[in-house]
Amino acid sequence: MIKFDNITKSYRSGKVKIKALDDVSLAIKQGEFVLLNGPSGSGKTTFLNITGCLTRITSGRIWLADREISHFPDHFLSAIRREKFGFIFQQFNLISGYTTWENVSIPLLPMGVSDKMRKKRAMNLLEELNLETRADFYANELSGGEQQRAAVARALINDPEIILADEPLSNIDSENAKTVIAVLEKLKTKGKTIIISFHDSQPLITKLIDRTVYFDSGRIS
Amino acid sequence: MFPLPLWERVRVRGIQMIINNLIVTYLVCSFISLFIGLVAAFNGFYVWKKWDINSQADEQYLLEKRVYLLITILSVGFFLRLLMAPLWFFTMHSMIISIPGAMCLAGVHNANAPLSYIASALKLVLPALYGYWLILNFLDRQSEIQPFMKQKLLFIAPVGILILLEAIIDTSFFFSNPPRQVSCCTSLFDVPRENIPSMVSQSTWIWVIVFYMLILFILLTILYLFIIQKRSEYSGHGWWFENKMVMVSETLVTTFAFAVFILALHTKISPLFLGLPFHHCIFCLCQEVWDTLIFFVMIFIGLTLFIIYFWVVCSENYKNVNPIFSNNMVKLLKWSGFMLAGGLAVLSIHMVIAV
Amino acid sequence: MSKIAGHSNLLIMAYQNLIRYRGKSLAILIPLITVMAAASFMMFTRGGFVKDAQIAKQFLPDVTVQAIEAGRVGKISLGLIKKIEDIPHVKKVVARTWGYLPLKIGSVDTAYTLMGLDIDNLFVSSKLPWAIEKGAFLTAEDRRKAVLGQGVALSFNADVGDKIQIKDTLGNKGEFEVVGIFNNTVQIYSTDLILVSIDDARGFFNYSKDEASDLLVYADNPENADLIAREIAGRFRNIRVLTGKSLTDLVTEAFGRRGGTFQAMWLILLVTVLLLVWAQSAHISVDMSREIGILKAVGWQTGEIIEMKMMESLILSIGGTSAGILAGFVYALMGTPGISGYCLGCASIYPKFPVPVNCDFSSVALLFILGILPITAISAIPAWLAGIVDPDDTIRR
Repeated sequence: MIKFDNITKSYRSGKVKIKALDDVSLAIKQGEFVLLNGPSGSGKTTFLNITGCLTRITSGRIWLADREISHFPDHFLSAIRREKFGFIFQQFNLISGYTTWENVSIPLLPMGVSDKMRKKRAMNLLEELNLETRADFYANELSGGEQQRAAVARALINDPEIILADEPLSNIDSENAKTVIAVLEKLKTKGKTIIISFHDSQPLITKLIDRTVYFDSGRIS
Repeated sequence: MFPLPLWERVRVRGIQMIINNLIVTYLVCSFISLFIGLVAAFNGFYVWKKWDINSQADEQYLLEKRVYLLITILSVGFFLRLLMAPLWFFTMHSMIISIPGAMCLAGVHNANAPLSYIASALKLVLPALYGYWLILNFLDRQSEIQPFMKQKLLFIAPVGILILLEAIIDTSFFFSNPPRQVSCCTSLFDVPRENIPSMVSQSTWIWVIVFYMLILFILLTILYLFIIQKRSEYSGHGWWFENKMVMVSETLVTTFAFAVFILALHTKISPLFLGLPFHHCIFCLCQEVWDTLIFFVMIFIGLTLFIIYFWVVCSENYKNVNPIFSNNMVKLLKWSGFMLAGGLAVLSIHMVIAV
Repeated sequence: MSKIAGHSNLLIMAYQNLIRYRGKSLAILIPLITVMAAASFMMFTRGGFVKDAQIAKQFLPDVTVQAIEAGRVGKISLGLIKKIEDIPHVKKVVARTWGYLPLKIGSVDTAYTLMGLDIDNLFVSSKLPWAIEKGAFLTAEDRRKAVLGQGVALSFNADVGDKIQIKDTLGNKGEFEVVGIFNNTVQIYSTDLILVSIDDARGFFNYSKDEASDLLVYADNPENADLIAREIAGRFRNIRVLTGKSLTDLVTEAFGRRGGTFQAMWLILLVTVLLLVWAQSAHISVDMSREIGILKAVGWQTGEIIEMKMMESLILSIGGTSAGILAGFVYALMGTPGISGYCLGCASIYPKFPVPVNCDFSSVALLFILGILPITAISAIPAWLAGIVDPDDTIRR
């Protein structure tokens, strides 16, 4: 379970202090499929980044499986990120100088997984996402939809407990979107916690959603 | 007066620097080390002043980033130091040819004593201090509350001062090396001076015996600590934990043991291994009898690890966090024991052969 | 999945990064290779001079005694031989007469040495540097006969049995028959020496029967050289005493001083390269920053990014240093074209004196320390700057 207790997040833009999240409290159970909804700039991405330990809160407390992680040092948060979370970004965020399978397996590199094993695990996921024929293509040689599928594979390479997806269908066509949704559905049946954000309604995933959380101006409305 | 050859007289007219590849290399390393030391000391002090583990202010995260800087540069600094210690002695060795009268490192040291001796001592002390910091840092990062943070940050300041001091001494040593006739180990130690009573004690076994007794005492202590910790299944219980008195007395005993080691080398081991009854030069010993360096380094590392062990377990917050650390600390203790026993074995074997 | 495997994966990734950002890598590599090549040719050449001087030392007498007249080296009286032989630890004193002779090769003025030896008393025959390659050595009865070093023989284009014409600066002329040629164990000797009997040398340089250029003193034990030198200097006036060590040091120092100039120039070059490395590494492009952000977002730790960046510097410095050392070695073997005259200094007056080269383990180890350590150390702060890139900031851009 992940629990957020009165968390706030402020950014400083020049002399102005911007509150991206304001007094947000939320508890997400294990295996839950949560949709974060709200207009652009409402705080969804900030909330996802805080959940995935990508950024720190300004105040409040966060519990992850009964451990309070708000004050954890950076190297502990990185370890949590690596072990527990899988991230799918709106902009795919693949590294262009590497092939598809190398991009997918990149989280395993510092863990000391051998080249052979990394490729094997990456190929299994790429097959699942119908991308095995593109395994040796460089990231910049893939279409938008293929890049997003590769990014999904990368998020799953560590077999994470929690999947965080930030507008994962925004930049891809409906065919590719269906493949991604099929994977998310499969993950849900496996009991994974999924937190997904959209700025608009997504009829394709409605049936998967357990709960929708609306964000507006940094608050849960 | 013994007439000096022309080229040496020319050098006497003004103080000038001796320059060669080794000196250039050493100076480059020394300046980098100084830069690292100063950046580390400044940042360490800054973070120490502002560090608050409970704070969620942006500044706290910036401080955390600065801690990464400290870890990075001090790790580099440690490896730099490990190389600089032998490099320093090689550099001094390369100066023998340029200093009239010098035949080994004793002569080079004498060209600018006591600065040179302080500089050489710092070459041994600084890697040990860096090592202590890195071990403390390693242990600190095993826990999410980072219990030794303040302690490790504060420790950098005196290390920085020592590095600054060392850089000044090193630089002044190279730049103000007086090209004059120096006395070397031959004139220092070889010629029997009957009117000096210390000559009588200089050929005695006493310091060798004291050294063996002290090292055996330390080895037995290590064994005792190891057995106690094994019995408690490394749960980390120990009466000596967080005990400052133990730390101070252990440091004194270990330092004394090292001093006795040097005395033993000087008084008996050098003449014995070199086969020259009046030659007590440790530098000649290290240069001409290769296994001396092995047992010297092993004993030095063993004693250093022994000191570090107590400096860590006697720290203030140790009892709160010891279950995580005790295993690593036992490993440290084991290494200390291995090094001391190994060094002593090499020394003893050579001694038996020599006698 | 061991920790070591993790480090080796980071090393591979670091290598791949260097290939991907090859422009940046080359900007560091090329100046580094140049600087290391300069350092290594200097070190190998200096090593060659030192080694040559050390070999030469084996053949030097323990003490050389010269007379001083009006502040200059003059002729020494043979009457001193007996007096010096009375000094404790002195085993033998041998007279030697020698002088420089000019030689013009093409348009270059060079010089070589005509040395007259007291063959009867030539004491340390087992330590002679002139191992005969061709012909035979001089005998006590030989007159107007000479033994040449290989280098000198080459300059004169002379072989055993040939006659060579020599003349000094005052116009004294002489003709000698070449009876032997000795090899070039020590370049200083083989490119410089013509050996004749001491009587021939006396006649040529106008020395009387009881005069010589200097006296070579051999001790019962080389350790006593300093003691004997002090004793001679204390007993006799108007003389100069040189020990074997001081003569060797002189040869080494002669190059050491020129080497010092190179060192100073080279130090400036090294600092320039370090600044360049700093500038190149500290600049984190938008692409690189985004990549680091992605890596951190997928679970890489700050320490791992820093380690990878440090490894990049390590690979660059090892590669650049290795290539530089190789280039420097080849340049030194080629005789340091372009600057050989400066390297040789006084030695350039010898006809055809090749720049000696000595490449040993300690020189190479030192060069590696010199190339790798500063570059790696200077990269620590840029690596940290890369490591602390905020993933949240970069992936949002």
